[in-house]
Amino acid sequence: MNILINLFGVDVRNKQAFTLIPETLPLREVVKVVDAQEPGFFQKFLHHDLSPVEGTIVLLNGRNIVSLANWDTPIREGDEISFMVLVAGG
Amino acid sequence: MKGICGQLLDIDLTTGKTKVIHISDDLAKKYIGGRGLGARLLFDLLPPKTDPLSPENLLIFLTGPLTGSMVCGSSKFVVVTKSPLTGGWCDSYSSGRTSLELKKAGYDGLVIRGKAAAPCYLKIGDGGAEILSAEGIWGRESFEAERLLKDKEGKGVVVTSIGPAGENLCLYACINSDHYRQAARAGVGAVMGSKNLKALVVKGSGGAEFHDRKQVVELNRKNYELAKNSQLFQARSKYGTSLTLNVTNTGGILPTQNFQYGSWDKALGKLDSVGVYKSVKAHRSCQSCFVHCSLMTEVTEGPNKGELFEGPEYETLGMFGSNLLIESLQTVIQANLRCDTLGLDTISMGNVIGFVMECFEKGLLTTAQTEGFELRFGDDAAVLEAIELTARRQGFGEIMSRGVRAVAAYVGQGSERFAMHVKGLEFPAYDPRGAFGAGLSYAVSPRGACHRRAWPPAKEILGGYPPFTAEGKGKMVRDLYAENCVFHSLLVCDMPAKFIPVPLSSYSIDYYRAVTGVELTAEDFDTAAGRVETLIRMFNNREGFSRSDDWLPYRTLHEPMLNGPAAGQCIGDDKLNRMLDDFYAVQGWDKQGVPTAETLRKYGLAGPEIIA
Repeated sequence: MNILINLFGVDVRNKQAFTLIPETLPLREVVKVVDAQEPGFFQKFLHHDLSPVEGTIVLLNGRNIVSLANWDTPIREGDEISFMVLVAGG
Repeated sequence: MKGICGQLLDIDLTTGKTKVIHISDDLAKKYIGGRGLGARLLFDLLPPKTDPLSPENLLIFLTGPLTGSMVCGSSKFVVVTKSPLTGGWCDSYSSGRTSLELKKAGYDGLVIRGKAAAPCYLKIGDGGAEILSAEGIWGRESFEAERLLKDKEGKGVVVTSIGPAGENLCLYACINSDHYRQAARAGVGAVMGSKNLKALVVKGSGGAEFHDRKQVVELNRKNYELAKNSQLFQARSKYGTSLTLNVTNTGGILPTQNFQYGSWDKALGKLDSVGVYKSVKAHRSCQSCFVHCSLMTEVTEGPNKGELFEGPEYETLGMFGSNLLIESLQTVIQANLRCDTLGLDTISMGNVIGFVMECFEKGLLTTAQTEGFELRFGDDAAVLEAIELTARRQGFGEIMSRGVRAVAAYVGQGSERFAMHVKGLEFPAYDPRGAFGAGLSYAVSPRGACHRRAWPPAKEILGGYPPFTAEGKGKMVRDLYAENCVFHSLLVCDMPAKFIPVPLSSYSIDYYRAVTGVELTAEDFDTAAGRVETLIRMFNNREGFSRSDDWLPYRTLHEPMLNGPAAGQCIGDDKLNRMLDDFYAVQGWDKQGVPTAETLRKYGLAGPEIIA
């Protein structure tokens, strides 16, 4: 499956494309696969054991994963995942 | 109590007389300062139904108990008045050193009334105020006026001024402070212009005593240690508010093409944190703040080419960028710069332009109705021309200067359906169809559509609250209002407070104790916030506002969002009504939004408390 990942923190990366196999994976597995493909990709947001750094929030298609199935949320073709700090307003 | 001067300077520009209004410790504790004290003053001192642009209106500048104390984020002031744009309550905030110098001059604030016979400026110092002629300064753009006044009065002075838009009574004119800072919203600059008042020039040498300055320094040190390693603080310090555009675009609430769409990927790499950062040459912070979130960007096009400019902030990026389909950061910077020095609110200006563009797009406006002026989405040059016309009220700028509600009335033909405002104040850069609580927050805001009294996207987009429901939103918005009411009454910037990973109430309580020597609890602050919000509601009700004014534009309620994560969503009458019922109930107001007798007793709002 093809997915997009955004990083919004000290480093900003918009819409980084990744192709993963198989077609559906829980979010926690997606993170492991991407981290294996590109070591250090999540280092500002996730600890070495891939637990989230305090203050990190994760959106799937603009929705916070805590309102979905959290790290068990299934990721599918075309999904957009954003790892970010809690940016407060403008 | 420490931290306050205990007095305001009351200046009548008609008579030239000044007097002192004393503020007791009890009153200072009850209303905290800033927004809270401003509510009490406006309610007690402004006659009901006053014409906002008449000499009888009051223009009130206030500091807070933490002002001048070195508390992180405490160099802010608020302007309180009756808005000429909405006809209701108005509080508009600015950073800058004006607040610090005012406090050093021995005043917690100014109450300005009347109208000078000729253009003037006020010189405020330790000995009071002088009313001086603004000959040679009136008519100048704000940046130039500030330079001229500093040359005349000495470099140590701080200048707060209006530009031509304020002089010309443009209904969303702002007040400039320290060059790039604005009290921008709801027409405070027009009220200042209506009084023939071009500027305040302030310089003090004394000021209030503080209870425990060492403790303030220690709290700052401790909070900086907490903040410096957090990525939130680092990201804010690097990108300022521009990172918000990445978030709103991802969350589907970025206003695009006059709020028709909620995401616009063309902004990425151009108008977002990545795009803006390419133009950043330096960072700045406000005095006594350790978050250097102001970006100094380079102007590379137009008449100001080669200059450094502070900004643009997120709101301007959204309202002049995606909302108008403008991809060029340099156009946004130029628009921002021109609005600042001409004295216009960038949020309202961007909103009005977007509305006119959609009217042209839909064929509801033709050049025959606009004196030959044409505005189309994506037309950079026309955007810049619209700003000039509006500030000077020339040609179609005369219509645009009255705000989007008035432009819609001029256009007619059902255009009010996509005139994005509440109570006449234009929407800022968040589309509530992607976060329904934001819709409630706009609807009930006493100054009109406002993102600063509560910021529900923090809960609904970032915090995991369900965004497309009404349940629980009344309480959520009430609590967010109360939280910000405390910050805006203390007059401390809520930005740094929210980057420090300690409870917000501790931030307020600890600093407040260190500065004033007064021990207030979190419950005391929450009660004060409820009191202040209720008093402001009473003010607006007295001016003729009711539940029907707490309403959202047709587009927000009935037109489904066209793209992004909120595609297909709109709030609807039923959900808004349910959210209003819940909000009024938790505030202690009846179904019409009128505070109940029990609520008035609870908050001690029996009658006037300030007589001047």
